Amino acid sequence: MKKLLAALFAIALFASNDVSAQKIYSTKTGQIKFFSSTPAEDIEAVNNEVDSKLSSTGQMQFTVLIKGFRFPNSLMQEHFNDDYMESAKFPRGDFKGTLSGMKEADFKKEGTYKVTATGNLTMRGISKAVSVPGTIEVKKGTIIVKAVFKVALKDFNITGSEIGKAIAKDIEITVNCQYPS
Amino acid sequence: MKAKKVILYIMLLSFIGAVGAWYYGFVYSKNNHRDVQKETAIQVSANELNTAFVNDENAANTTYLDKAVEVHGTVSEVTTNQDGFPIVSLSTDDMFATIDCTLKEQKTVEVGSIVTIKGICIGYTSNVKIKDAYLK
Repeated sequence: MKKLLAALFAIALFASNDVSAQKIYSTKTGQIKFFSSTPAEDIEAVNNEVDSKLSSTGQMQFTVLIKGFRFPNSLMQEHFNDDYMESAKFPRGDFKGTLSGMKEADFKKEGTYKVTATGNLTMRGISKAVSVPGTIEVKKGTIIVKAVFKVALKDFNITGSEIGKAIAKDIEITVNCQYPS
Repeated sequence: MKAKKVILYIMLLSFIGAVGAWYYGFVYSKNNHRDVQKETAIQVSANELNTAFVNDENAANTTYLDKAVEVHGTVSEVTTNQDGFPIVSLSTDDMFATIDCTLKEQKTVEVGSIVTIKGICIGYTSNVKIKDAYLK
């Protein structure tokens, strides 16, 4: 009887462990866009090589290579890398943070959840605490993270004569990352 | 009379200069992107490239970042990015590290085949990444 109880207890423990086992979703091909809009011109750049990891317990991480942004205009791409982001000196940007608004069990239930990611955004060697609203969609086991937020260039010591003229002071960042199941 | 001529010339020259600058900045730069196929590339094996970044990332960035590279290696995986373009991963001696090359063209690549891929090195996350790549 004691043995049976012990066995049942072990099974129960094992089962509950299985339920709470965190799952890690990852992609090497997430997408991040940035958009600057001024009366003078609109500038958009896309990066399709974003590394990202997301755990069902709510940890998230994004790493983006600055040289990976593609501009429609090659001269703008050059200025972006050399004058504004100094990407030879600071080749990476990243975000590490935690997620709220979604329970671990929700990752197994289809639907779209409103979430907030809170953490540190690092660019040009400068870290800044940010809180970003977004959505997480669970669809056939695939996770899709979407967020749109603004970043003030002055927060990251990004300066230049065109900021406030042809380049907006606040840049809009759009995140769209799909994590295969 | 002479002064008038000089002023006229200066006006004409500055006008040509302004048109030239506008053309270079907004027309030429929009239609003429860096074409890696025309560039002389640094030849390197997938394993050498990975080792360089693992050992000393700053030194490797100085050598490879934003440069045209020709990487040869064995295809370990072919995936598709969110824009529908193929990403060819080349294996290295480190079983967790690959060189990930985003192709600029639609091309079928067999897993296990030995290839040379030419593209622009954009840096290192946990893998070395190559963009705007072509199969040689």
